Amino acid sequence: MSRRIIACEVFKPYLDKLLEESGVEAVDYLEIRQHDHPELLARSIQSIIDETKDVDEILLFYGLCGNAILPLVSKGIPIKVLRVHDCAAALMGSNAAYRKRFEGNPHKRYHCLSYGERDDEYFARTSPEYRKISEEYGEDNADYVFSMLYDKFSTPVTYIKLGLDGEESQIRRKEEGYYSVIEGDLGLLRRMLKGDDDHVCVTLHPHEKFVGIYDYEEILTTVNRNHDREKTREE
Amino acid sequence: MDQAFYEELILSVTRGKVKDVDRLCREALEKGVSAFKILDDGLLAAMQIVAERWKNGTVFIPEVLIAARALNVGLAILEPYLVLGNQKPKAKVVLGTVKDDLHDIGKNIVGLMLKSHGFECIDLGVDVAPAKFVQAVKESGAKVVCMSALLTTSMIHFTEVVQAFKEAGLRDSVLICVGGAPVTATFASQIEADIFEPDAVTFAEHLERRLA
Repeated sequence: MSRRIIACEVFKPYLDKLLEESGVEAVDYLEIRQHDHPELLARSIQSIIDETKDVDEILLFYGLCGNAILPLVSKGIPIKVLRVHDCAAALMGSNAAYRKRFEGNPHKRYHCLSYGERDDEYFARTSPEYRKISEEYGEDNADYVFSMLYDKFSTPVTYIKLGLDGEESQIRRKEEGYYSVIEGDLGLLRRMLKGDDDHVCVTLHPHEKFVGIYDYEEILTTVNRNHDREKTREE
Repeated sequence: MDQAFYEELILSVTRGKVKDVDRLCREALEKGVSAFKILDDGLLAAMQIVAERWKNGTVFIPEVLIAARALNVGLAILEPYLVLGNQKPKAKVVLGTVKDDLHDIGKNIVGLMLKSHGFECIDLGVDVAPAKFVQAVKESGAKVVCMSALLTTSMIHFTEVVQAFKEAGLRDSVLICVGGAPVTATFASQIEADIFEPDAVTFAEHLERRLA
Protein backbone atom coordinates (compact mmCIF):
# COMPACT_ATOMS: atom_id res chain seq x y z
CA MET A 1 0.00 0.00 0.00
CA SER A 2 1.43 3.38 -0.98
CA ARG A 3 1.16 6.30 1.37
CA ARG A 4 2.34 9.77 2.18
CA ILE A 5 3.45 10.69 5.69
CA ILE A 6 2.97 14.18 7.09
CA ALA A 7 4.29 14.81 10.59
CA CYS A 8 5.08 17.44 13.16
CA GLU A 9 8.84 17.74 13.41
CA VAL A 10 8.57 16.86 17.09
CA PHE A 11 8.36 13.25 15.85
CA LYS A 12 11.34 13.47 13.50
CA PRO A 13 13.97 11.61 15.56
CA TYR A 14 11.49 8.86 16.41
CA LEU A 15 10.03 8.40 12.94
CA ASP A 16 13.53 8.44 11.45
CA LYS A 17 14.40 5.55 13.75
CA LEU A 18 11.18 3.62 13.12
CA LEU A 19 11.32 4.13 9.38
CA GLU A 20 14.88 2.88 9.36
CA GLU A 21 13.55 -0.32 10.90
CA SER A 22 10.68 -0.69 8.45
CA GLY A 23 12.20 0.66 5.25
CA VAL A 24 12.92 4.30 4.52
CA GLU A 25 10.06 6.51 3.37
CA ALA A 26 9.99 10.25 2.86
CA VAL A 27 8.19 12.29 5.49
CA ASP A 28 6.94 15.86 5.15
CA TYR A 29 7.77 17.51 8.45
CA LEU A 30 6.08 20.72 9.51
CA GLU A 31 7.56 23.13 12.05
CA ILE A 32 6.80 22.50 15.73
CA ARG A 33 6.02 26.17 16.18
CA GLN A 34 2.96 25.85 13.95
CA HIS A 35 1.20 24.14 16.85
CA ASP A 36 0.98 27.57 18.47
CA HIS A 37 -1.44 28.51 15.72
CA PRO A 38 -4.00 25.78 14.97
CA GLU A 39 -5.66 27.56 12.02
CA LEU A 40 -2.35 28.05 10.23
CA LEU A 41 -1.29 24.51 10.99
CA ALA A 42 -4.54 23.21 9.49
CA ARG A 43 -3.93 25.23 6.32
CA SER A 44 -0.35 23.94 6.02
CA ILE A 45 -1.44 20.34 6.41
CA GLN A 46 -4.40 20.74 4.05
CA SER A 47 -2.20 22.22 1.33
CA ILE A 48 0.04 19.13 1.42
CA ILE A 49 -3.03 16.88 1.43
CA ASP A 50 -4.46 18.73 -1.57
CA GLU A 51 -1.33 18.34 -3.66
CA THR A 52 -1.05 14.61 -2.87
CA LYS A 53 -1.85 12.21 -5.68
CA ASP A 54 -1.34 8.56 -6.52
CA VAL A 55 -1.16 7.18 -2.98
CA ASP A 56 -3.62 4.93 -1.15
CA GLU A 57 -3.58 6.80 2.14
CA ILE A 58 -2.15 9.75 4.03
CA LEU A 59 -0.74 9.21 7.52
CA LEU A 60 -0.83 12.29 9.72
CA PHE A 61 1.40 12.25 12.76
CA TYR A 62 -0.72 14.77 14.59
CA GLY A 63 -3.34 14.44 17.29
CA LEU A 64 -6.14 16.87 18.08
CA CYS A 65 -3.39 19.47 18.59
CA GLY A 66 -5.66 22.24 19.84
CA ASN A 67 -8.30 21.26 17.25
CA ALA A 68 -5.91 21.99 14.37
CA ILE A 69 -6.92 18.82 12.57
CA LEU A 70 -10.69 19.31 12.80
CA PRO A 71 -11.04 21.38 9.59
CA LEU A 72 -9.12 18.91 7.44
CA VAL A 73 -10.86 17.51 4.40
CA SER A 74 -10.20 14.35 2.40
CA LYS A 75 -10.74 14.94 -1.28
CA GLY A 76 -10.38 11.29 -2.22
CA ILE A 77 -7.47 9.80 -0.31
CA PRO A 78 -8.27 8.53 3.21
CA ILE A 79 -6.43 10.41 5.96
CA LYS A 80 -5.31 8.66 9.15
CA VAL A 81 -4.58 10.74 12.23
CA LEU A 82 -3.26 9.67 15.64
CA ARG A 83 -5.99 9.11 18.23
CA VAL A 84 -4.31 11.37 20.83
CA HIS A 85 -4.62 14.87 22.19
CA ASP A 86 -1.02 15.78 21.43
CA CYS A 87 2.54 14.60 21.03
CA ALA A 88 3.10 13.99 24.75
CA ALA A 89 0.47 11.22 24.72
CA ALA A 90 1.89 9.78 21.51
CA LEU A 91 5.39 9.62 22.98
CA MET A 92 4.16 8.11 26.24
CA GLY A 93 2.64 5.31 24.18
CA SER A 94 -1.00 5.64 25.24
CA ASN A 95 -3.71 8.04 26.28
CA ALA A 96 -4.05 6.18 29.58
CA ALA A 97 -0.38 6.82 30.41
CA TYR A 98 -0.81 10.48 29.53
CA ARG A 99 -3.96 10.85 31.58
CA LYS A 100 -2.27 9.36 34.62
CA ARG A 101 0.51 11.94 34.38
CA PHE A 102 -1.58 14.93 33.34
CA GLU A 103 -4.53 14.82 35.75
CA GLY A 104 -3.84 16.81 38.85
CA ASN A 105 -0.54 18.05 37.38
CA PRO A 106 -1.50 20.77 34.94
CA HIS A 107 1.67 22.66 35.88
CA LYS A 108 3.82 20.05 34.20
CA ARG A 109 5.57 20.71 30.96
CA TYR A 110 6.80 17.88 28.80
CA HIS A 111 10.03 17.75 26.88
CA CYS A 112 11.62 15.22 24.61
CA LEU A 113 14.60 15.10 22.32
CA SER A 114 13.17 17.40 19.67
CA TYR A 115 11.21 19.59 22.04
CA GLY A 116 14.15 19.99 24.40
CA GLU A 117 16.28 21.33 21.60
CA ARG A 118 13.49 23.61 20.54
CA ASP A 119 13.07 24.91 24.07
CA ASP A 120 16.77 25.56 24.51
CA GLU A 121 16.72 27.57 21.37
CA TYR A 122 13.27 29.08 21.66
CA PHE A 123 12.78 29.91 25.31
CA ALA A 124 16.21 30.75 26.74
CA ARG A 125 16.91 34.39 27.60
CA THR A 126 19.89 34.21 25.26
CA SER A 127 17.77 32.89 22.38
CA PRO A 128 17.14 34.69 19.08
CA GLU A 129 13.43 34.67 19.98
CA TYR A 130 14.08 36.58 23.22
CA ARG A 131 16.31 39.05 21.39
CA LYS A 132 13.68 39.51 18.70
CA ILE A 133 10.91 40.29 21.20
CA SER A 134 13.25 42.45 23.24
CA GLU A 135 14.28 44.51 20.23
CA GLU A 136 10.73 44.96 19.03
CA TYR A 137 8.82 45.37 22.30
CA GLY A 138 11.51 46.07 24.92
CA GLU A 139 13.25 43.90 27.48
CA ASP A 140 10.47 44.30 30.01
CA ASN A 141 7.94 42.78 27.61
CA ALA A 142 10.35 40.03 26.56
CA ASP A 143 10.84 39.11 30.23
CA TYR A 144 7.10 39.09 30.75
CA VAL A 145 6.48 36.84 27.74
CA PHE A 146 9.15 34.40 28.79
CA SER A 147 7.90 34.34 32.37
CA MET A 148 4.38 33.55 31.12
CA LEU A 149 5.42 30.93 28.60
CA TYR A 150 8.28 29.39 30.43
CA ASP A 151 8.70 30.24 34.09
CA LYS A 152 5.02 30.05 35.01
CA PHE A 153 5.01 26.31 34.70
CA SER A 154 6.84 24.53 37.45
CA THR A 155 9.97 22.45 37.22
CA PRO A 156 10.94 19.69 37.17
CA VAL A 157 9.93 19.44 33.55
CA THR A 158 8.95 15.89 32.63
CA TYR A 159 11.38 14.59 30.03
CA ILE A 160 10.09 11.70 27.93
CA LYS A 161 13.04 9.47 27.21
CA LEU A 162 12.83 7.02 24.35
CA GLY A 163 16.34 5.62 24.14
CA LEU A 164 17.69 7.77 21.34
CA ASP A 165 21.16 9.23 20.93
CA GLY A 166 21.36 12.75 22.23
CA GLU A 167 18.84 12.38 25.06
CA GLU A 168 21.41 11.79 27.81
CA SER A 169 23.53 14.78 26.85
CA GLN A 170 20.41 16.95 26.67
CA ILE A 171 19.36 15.88 30.14
CA ARG A 172 22.89 16.41 31.53
CA ARG A 173 23.09 19.87 29.98
CA LYS A 174 20.27 21.09 32.23
CA GLU A 175 20.84 21.92 35.87
CA GLU A 176 20.17 19.15 38.36
CA GLY A 177 16.49 18.85 39.22
CA TYR A 178 15.34 20.56 36.02
CA TYR A 179 14.19 17.34 34.41
CA SER A 180 12.16 14.54 35.89
CA VAL A 181 12.79 11.72 33.44
CA ILE A 182 10.16 9.16 32.46
CA GLU A 183 10.39 6.28 30.02
CA GLY A 184 8.33 6.83 26.89
CA ASP A 185 7.05 4.21 24.50
CA LEU A 186 7.29 4.24 20.71
CA GLY A 187 4.63 1.53 20.43
CA LEU A 188 1.86 3.87 19.40
CA LEU A 189 3.91 5.44 16.61
CA ARG A 190 5.05 2.01 15.47
CA ARG A 191 1.46 0.74 15.30
CA MET A 192 0.41 3.83 13.36
CA LEU A 193 3.11 3.11 10.79
CA LYS A 194 1.92 -0.47 10.47
CA GLY A 195 -1.59 0.81 9.77
CA ASP A 196 -5.08 -0.70 10.10
CA ASP A 197 -5.34 -0.13 13.83
CA ASP A 198 -8.42 1.79 14.91
CA HIS A 199 -7.14 1.99 18.46
CA VAL A 200 -4.24 4.22 17.50
CA CYS A 201 -5.73 6.19 14.64
CA VAL A 202 -8.93 7.64 13.22
CA THR A 203 -9.54 7.50 9.46
CA LEU A 204 -11.16 10.37 7.62
CA HIS A 205 -12.84 9.45 4.33
CA PRO A 206 -14.21 11.84 1.71
CA HIS A 207 -17.61 13.26 2.78
CA GLU A 208 -16.62 12.93 6.45
CA LYS A 209 -15.33 15.42 8.97
CA PHE A 210 -13.47 15.09 12.24
CA VAL A 211 -15.30 15.80 15.50
CA GLY A 212 -13.52 16.16 18.84
CA ILE A 213 -14.72 13.96 21.70
CA TYR A 214 -12.22 15.34 24.24
CA ASP A 215 -12.08 12.33 26.51
CA TYR A 216 -9.07 10.10 27.12
CA GLU A 217 -10.14 7.08 25.07
CA GLU A 218 -11.89 7.97 21.86
CA ILE A 219 -10.40 11.50 21.68
CA LEU A 220 -11.94 12.21 18.27
CA THR A 221 -14.18 10.60 15.71
CA THR A 222 -15.58 11.22 12.23
CA VAL A 223 -19.14 11.94 11.12
CA ASN A 224 -20.75 12.47 7.75
CA ARG A 225 -20.17 16.03 6.57
CA ASN A 226 -23.93 16.38 6.07
CA HIS A 227 -24.54 15.40 9.69
CA ASP A 228 -25.29 18.94 10.86
CA ARG A 229 -27.55 19.63 7.89
CA GLU A 230 -29.49 16.42 8.54
CA LYS A 231 -29.79 17.31 12.21
CA THR A 232 -31.15 20.74 11.34
CA ARG A 233 -33.74 19.18 8.99
CA GLU A 234 -34.87 16.79 11.75
CA GLU A 235 -35.34 19.72 14.12
CA MET B 1 -10.36 63.25 23.12
CA ASP B 2 -9.67 63.30 19.40
CA GLN B 3 -9.03 60.40 17.09
CA ALA B 4 -5.25 60.84 17.45
CA PHE B 5 -5.58 60.08 21.17
CA TYR B 6 -7.34 56.78 20.55
CA GLU B 7 -4.86 55.88 17.82
CA GLU B 8 -2.00 56.46 20.26
CA LEU B 9 -3.74 54.41 22.96
CA ILE B 10 -4.42 51.56 20.53
CA LEU B 11 -0.82 51.57 19.35
CA SER B 12 0.44 51.64 22.94
CA VAL B 13 -1.62 48.55 23.77
CA THR B 14 -0.60 46.59 20.67
CA ARG B 15 3.06 47.55 21.20
CA GLY B 16 2.93 46.72 24.91
CA LYS B 17 3.88 50.21 26.03
CA VAL B 18 2.47 49.89 29.52
CA LYS B 19 3.69 53.26 30.80
CA ASP B 20 2.02 55.02 27.89
CA VAL B 21 -1.20 53.07 28.43
CA ASP B 22 -1.14 54.06 32.08
CA ARG B 23 -0.52 57.73 31.26
CA LEU B 24 -3.10 57.95 28.47
CA CYS B 25 -5.88 56.32 30.49
CA ARG B 26 -5.27 58.64 33.45
CA GLU B 27 -5.12 61.71 31.21
CA ALA B 28 -8.40 60.83 29.54
CA LEU B 29 -10.15 60.22 32.87
CA GLU B 30 -8.85 63.54 34.20
CA LYS B 31 -10.31 65.25 31.15
CA GLY B 32 -13.68 63.71 31.94
CA VAL B 33 -13.81 61.06 29.24
CA SER B 34 -16.07 58.16 30.16
CA ALA B 35 -14.21 55.03 31.26
CA PHE B 36 -16.53 53.03 29.00
CA LYS B 37 -15.48 55.08 25.97
CA ILE B 38 -11.77 54.70 26.78
CA LEU B 39 -12.37 50.98 27.18
CA ASP B 40 -14.38 50.52 23.99
CA ASP B 41 -12.57 52.88 21.61
CA GLY B 42 -9.08 52.38 23.01
CA LEU B 43 -8.31 49.22 24.93
CA LEU B 44 -10.84 46.87 23.34
CA ALA B 45 -10.32 48.31 19.86
CA ALA B 46 -6.63 47.46 20.29
CA MET B 47 -7.42 43.91 21.35
CA GLN B 48 -9.73 43.57 18.36
CA ILE B 49 -6.79 44.45 16.10
CA VAL B 50 -4.57 41.91 17.86
CA ALA B 51 -7.33 39.29 17.56
CA GLU B 52 -7.59 39.94 13.80
CA ARG B 53 -3.82 39.67 13.39
CA TRP B 54 -3.84 36.47 15.39
CA LYS B 55 -6.58 35.07 13.19
CA ASN B 56 -4.60 35.98 10.08
CA GLY B 57 -1.44 34.45 11.48
CA THR B 58 0.53 37.69 11.43
CA VAL B 59 1.12 37.70 15.20
CA PHE B 60 1.80 34.86 17.62
CA ILE B 61 1.46 34.16 21.33
CA PRO B 62 4.12 36.68 22.47
CA GLU B 63 2.33 39.58 20.78
CA VAL B 64 -1.01 38.53 22.30
CA LEU B 65 0.52 38.29 25.77
CA ILE B 66 2.21 41.67 25.40
CA ALA B 67 -1.03 43.37 24.34
CA ALA B 68 -3.08 41.60 27.03
CA ARG B 69 -0.66 42.78 29.68
CA ALA B 70 -0.95 46.39 28.49
CA LEU B 71 -4.73 45.99 28.37
CA ASN B 72 -4.72 44.89 32.01
CA VAL B 73 -2.72 47.96 33.03
CA GLY B 74 -5.35 50.17 31.42
CA LEU B 75 -8.16 48.14 32.87
CA ALA B 76 -6.81 48.48 36.42
CA ILE B 77 -7.04 52.26 36.01
CA LEU B 78 -10.49 52.23 34.45
CA GLU B 79 -12.04 49.57 36.66
CA PRO B 80 -13.17 51.82 39.54
CA TYR B 81 -14.96 54.00 37.00
CA LEU B 82 -16.65 51.10 35.24
CA VAL B 83 -19.11 50.55 38.07
CA LEU B 84 -22.59 51.66 37.26
CA GLY B 85 -23.24 54.19 39.99
CA ASN B 86 -26.13 53.10 42.19
CA GLN B 87 -27.42 50.69 39.61
CA LYS B 88 -27.56 47.07 40.61
CA PRO B 89 -25.44 44.66 38.56
CA LYS B 90 -27.36 43.01 35.71
CA ALA B 91 -26.49 39.65 37.19
CA LYS B 92 -23.84 37.90 39.21
CA VAL B 93 -21.53 35.73 37.15
CA VAL B 94 -19.21 33.03 38.43
CA LEU B 95 -16.28 32.43 36.11
CA GLY B 96 -13.17 30.29 36.07
CA THR B 97 -10.81 28.14 34.05
CA VAL B 98 -11.69 24.47 34.43
CA LYS B 99 -9.71 21.89 36.36
CA ASP B 100 -6.27 20.95 35.03
CA ASP B 101 -5.94 24.14 33.04
CA LEU B 102 -3.93 27.18 34.09
CA HIS B 103 -4.60 29.44 31.15
CA ASP B 104 -6.47 32.58 32.04
CA ILE B 105 -5.89 35.25 29.42
CA GLY B 106 -9.21 34.58 27.66
CA LYS B 107 -11.08 34.16 30.91
CA ASN B 108 -9.77 37.49 32.17
CA ILE B 109 -10.83 39.24 28.99
CA VAL B 110 -14.33 37.77 29.35
CA GLY B 111 -14.42 39.01 32.97
CA LEU B 112 -13.45 42.45 31.77
CA MET B 113 -16.15 42.47 29.08
CA LEU B 114 -18.79 41.34 31.54
CA LYS B 115 -17.87 44.04 34.05
CA SER B 116 -17.96 46.67 31.33
CA HIS B 117 -21.47 45.47 30.45
CA GLY B 118 -22.66 45.85 34.04
CA PHE B 119 -22.28 42.32 35.40
CA GLU B 120 -20.73 41.47 38.76
CA CYS B 121 -17.98 38.88 38.38
CA ILE B 122 -16.87 36.32 40.92
CA ASP B 123 -13.61 35.08 39.47
CA LEU B 124 -12.57 31.68 40.81
CA GLY B 125 -9.23 31.73 38.99
CA VAL B 126 -7.67 28.75 37.23
CA ASP B 127 -7.69 24.97 37.75
CA VAL B 128 -11.18 25.15 39.28
CA ALA B 129 -12.77 21.86 40.35
CA PRO B 130 -16.45 21.26 39.44
CA ALA B 131 -17.54 21.36 43.10
CA LYS B 132 -16.01 24.81 43.48
CA PHE B 133 -18.19 26.21 40.68
CA VAL B 134 -21.27 24.78 42.39
CA GLN B 135 -20.23 26.06 45.79
CA ALA B 136 -19.63 29.57 44.41
CA VAL B 137 -23.10 29.63 42.87
CA LYS B 138 -24.70 28.44 46.11
CA GLU B 139 -22.87 31.08 48.14
CA SER B 140 -23.34 34.00 45.77
CA GLY B 141 -26.71 33.23 44.22
CA ALA B 142 -25.15 33.78 40.79
CA LYS B 143 -27.36 32.98 37.83
CA VAL B 144 -24.56 32.60 35.30
CA VAL B 145 -21.53 30.32 35.22
CA CYS B 146 -18.76 30.90 32.69
CA MET B 147 -15.99 28.39 32.23
CA SER B 148 -13.07 28.27 29.87
CA ALA B 149 -10.22 26.01 28.79
CA LEU B 150 -7.29 26.26 26.44
CA LEU B 151 -6.23 22.62 26.46
CA THR B 152 -8.27 19.91 24.76
CA THR B 153 -7.12 17.62 27.58
CA SER B 154 -9.00 19.68 30.14
CA MET B 155 -12.23 19.97 28.14
CA ILE B 156 -13.47 16.78 29.75
CA HIS B 157 -14.04 18.85 32.89
CA PHE B 158 -16.70 20.99 31.21
CA THR B 159 -18.95 17.95 31.19
CA GLU B 160 -18.17 17.31 34.84
CA VAL B 161 -19.17 20.83 35.80
CA VAL B 162 -22.51 20.48 33.99
CA GLN B 163 -23.01 17.15 35.74
CA ALA B 164 -22.12 18.68 39.13
CA PHE B 165 -24.84 21.30 38.67
CA LYS B 166 -27.35 18.60 37.74
CA GLU B 167 -26.45 16.59 40.83
CA ALA B 168 -26.77 19.69 43.03
CA GLY B 169 -30.25 20.30 41.59
CA LEU B 170 -29.13 23.66 40.23
CA ARG B 171 -28.83 22.98 36.52
CA ASP B 172 -32.09 24.73 35.62
CA SER B 173 -31.38 27.77 37.73
CA VAL B 174 -28.08 28.77 36.08
CA LEU B 175 -27.01 29.63 32.55
CA ILE B 176 -23.88 27.66 31.75
CA CYS B 177 -21.57 29.41 29.31
CA VAL B 178 -18.43 27.92 27.77
CA GLY B 179 -15.53 29.36 25.84
CA GLY B 180 -11.85 29.06 25.04
CA ALA B 181 -9.73 28.52 21.96
CA PRO B 182 -10.57 24.83 21.36
CA VAL B 183 -14.26 25.14 22.28
CA THR B 184 -16.73 25.01 19.40
CA ALA B 185 -20.48 25.45 19.06
CA THR B 186 -20.77 21.71 18.38
CA PHE B 187 -18.99 20.89 21.61
CA ALA B 188 -21.09 23.37 23.58
CA SER B 189 -24.20 21.73 22.22
CA GLN B 190 -22.88 18.23 23.03
CA ILE B 191 -22.40 19.07 26.70
CA GLU B 192 -25.72 20.96 26.84
CA ALA B 193 -24.18 24.32 27.63
CA ASP B 194 -26.55 27.26 27.29
CA ILE B 195 -24.31 29.81 25.62
CA PHE B 196 -21.19 29.67 23.49
CA GLU B 197 -19.71 32.56 21.56
CA PRO B 198 -16.33 32.65 19.87
CA ASP B 199 -15.18 35.93 21.41
CA ALA B 200 -15.61 37.92 24.61
CA VAL B 201 -17.38 40.94 23.15
CA THR B 202 -20.03 38.90 21.33
CA PHE B 203 -20.49 36.79 24.43
CA ALA B 204 -21.08 39.77 26.75
CA GLU B 205 -23.63 41.16 24.30
CA HIS B 206 -25.33 37.78 23.99
CA LEU B 207 -25.58 37.40 27.76
CA GLU B 208 -26.96 40.90 28.08
CA ARG B 209 -29.72 40.12 25.54
CA ARG B 210 -30.46 36.77 27.15
CA LEU B 211 -31.00 38.29 30.58
CA ALA B 212 -32.82 41.40 29.37
